[in-house]
Amino acid sequence: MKDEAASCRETMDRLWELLDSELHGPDSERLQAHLDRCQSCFPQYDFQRAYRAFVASCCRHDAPPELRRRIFMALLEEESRGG
Amino acid sequence: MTVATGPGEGTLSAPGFAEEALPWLDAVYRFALRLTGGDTAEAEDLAQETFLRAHRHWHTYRRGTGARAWLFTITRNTFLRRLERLARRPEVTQTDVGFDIGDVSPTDIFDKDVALPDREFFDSFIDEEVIRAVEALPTEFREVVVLSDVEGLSYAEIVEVTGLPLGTVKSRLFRGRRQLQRALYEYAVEMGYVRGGTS
Repeated sequence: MKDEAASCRETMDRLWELLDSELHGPDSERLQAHLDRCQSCFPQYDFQRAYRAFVASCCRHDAPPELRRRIFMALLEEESRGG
Repeated sequence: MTVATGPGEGTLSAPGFAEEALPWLDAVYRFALRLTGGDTAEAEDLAQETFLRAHRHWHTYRRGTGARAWLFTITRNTFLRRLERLARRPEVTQTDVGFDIGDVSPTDIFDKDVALPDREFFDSFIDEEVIRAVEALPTEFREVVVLSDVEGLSYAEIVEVTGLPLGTVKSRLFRGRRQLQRALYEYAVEMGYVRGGTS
């Protein structure tokens, strides 16, 4: 029983845990087994996976180089004051 | 061991600070920028204050445990203290109480009568539109969405940063994502990126 593929309900309930890499081993395998053959759950999984990749790529800009320099100088100054 | 990491002006003597803390400067700045709602001057000050505090309290950090979540905790606490000083407390919601994720399935992200868009849906947006939508989220949703979806922290790390119980983190993540996706969808319909309507 434990090794069977998960149900639609369980898959949807735990979808985010799977996408967030919080499920491991048999739990993850059972959900993946269900997703491999379920035409109603897979599009949800696929859409949310696309969402995750998309948000990460949109909001990942670096700090301005002047800030890096400013912080480093402030840290050096604090150390020179004996902080 | 001290390593020169700055632009050649000197070296930091706090052991391990340059190797373990400074590499997270971009991530701390990004988190600060999202917390301040896109205010770059505020975010820069917040990032600087984070590193100065981290440096002052570096002896309390357990080496090798991963400084990112530790730094984010300082960023968040510093931000909340600043808000208190400005008497602009973030909206505190009681709505987590009694909320059960099981009540709402991820299939309800959009209203039941709206078809799930294709994954290509996301290709229509430009970065600024998404950033605006993220920043429009209430603070308590925005911080967990940013920590998970942008910075890739685990649930355990988000618990560490926010001090919230695991169940609350999961529920806020779920609802924050849902709200963000709905906002993007409504915006996309308005802009004509997708056709709204029933499935």
